[in-house]
Amino acid sequence: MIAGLHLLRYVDVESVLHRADARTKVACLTGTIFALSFDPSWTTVGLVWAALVVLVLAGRIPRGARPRPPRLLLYAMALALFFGVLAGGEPNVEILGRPIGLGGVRAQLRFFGVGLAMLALALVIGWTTRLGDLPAAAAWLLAPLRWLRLPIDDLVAALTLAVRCLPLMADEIATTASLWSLRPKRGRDHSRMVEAVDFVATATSGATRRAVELGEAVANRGPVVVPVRHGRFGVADLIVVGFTAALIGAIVVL
Amino acid sequence: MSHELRLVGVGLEHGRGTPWAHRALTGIDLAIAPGERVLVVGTNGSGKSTLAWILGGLLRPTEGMATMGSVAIADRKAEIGLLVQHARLQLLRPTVNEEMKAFCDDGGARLEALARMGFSVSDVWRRIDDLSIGQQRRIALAAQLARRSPVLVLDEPMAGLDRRARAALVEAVAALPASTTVVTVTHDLADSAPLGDQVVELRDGTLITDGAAS
Repeated sequence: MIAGLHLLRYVDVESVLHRADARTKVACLTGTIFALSFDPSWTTVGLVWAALVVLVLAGRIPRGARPRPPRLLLYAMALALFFGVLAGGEPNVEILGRPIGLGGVRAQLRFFGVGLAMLALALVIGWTTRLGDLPAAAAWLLAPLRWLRLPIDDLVAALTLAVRCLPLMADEIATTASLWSLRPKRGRDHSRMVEAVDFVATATSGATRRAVELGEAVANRGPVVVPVRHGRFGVADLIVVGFTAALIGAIVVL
Repeated sequence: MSHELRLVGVGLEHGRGTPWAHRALTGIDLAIAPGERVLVVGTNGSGKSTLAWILGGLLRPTEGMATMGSVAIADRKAEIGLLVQHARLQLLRPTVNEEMKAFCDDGGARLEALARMGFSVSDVWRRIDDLSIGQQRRIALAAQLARRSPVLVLDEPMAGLDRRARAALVEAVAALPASTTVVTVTHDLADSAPLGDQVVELRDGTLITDGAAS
């Protein structure tokens, strides 16, 4: 299930990406995603995927860390492609004597390329950055927005708790799915479809409970962000920024 | 088919093949005959819940064999009732009545199981999300009692229960048919002692004792 994505799970190895400051990595991720969203062409999507290969190699991420997407996600993607076929559009090809428009499928595939690239970039950040460093990095990066009187402290406190809750929620969903398989298989009103709805309802209930706990924690804690002494930027940060600048530059030029 | 549970050289490594792999159990040999009441005790992180999940058929060991009769437990999990620590995660229907109906067609048996766990007839219409954690645990157990599984695996069943509910739980387990196997996983032997007549102890994922409960 969702745990198979290995989201926000730190891989404890030594690499240039691990040495880079969380602030640098979060800023570079934001910049890359912004640039890609601005111009999501096939060329730029391909460029980001090529960059991802370089990042995974530079981060010395072992093969075992590769995400195993939940089957539900693959089904949803297959369904989206099916609707893409129904949508039609240029170019047209002839299959079994009938013209089929592949425009919708092409657009859908490009959308997948962009979405999955963004997810993969986030995974790289998670693999190379300790969980506890992310909220502090966000607090530092968002600090200028205080001038606009935005509630940055509240936002960072919520982010801190959300980051802590995410692995727990993933765990709960995996447990619920396992326990679902233990329930008696029955006919009548206990069809698999009803049970699937029940499963989603239970997972939602769990997530809601976590959200309530998170809200209460924020309310009790108040808008207080624990001051963190950030380390100094180093050569690794320079390399990451240089790489990202080249990538964003290529996205803009191409 | 026999309901004898047998673990031979069972080991389990969570996340095998990933950078986050960690070993939970090593070389567990255990045989539980039908009708036996066994307590598995150990400290936090000793591998108790992992063992409960293997005995409940939710996990397949990465080493060794876990069988019920001659078949892998995971392939006969429909015959096992498992109560997990976070009971809310196994209550998938919105109300007590619907949850109980998912496990048992017999209305009388459902009410009897609920009464054993301290619920009245009016409680059947209550929403699961309106129940306390202890009540949710009791409903999950009542559903398993109503189901009359030949094997019950209870993971920390006493957690979150008050004294009265604990007594009701002990009474309900004692009232189960003699042929029902009950495996109780707990960190608190003092509280759970009445639930079993054999004790096995886990330490760091390894079985270190096996004998009669004091």
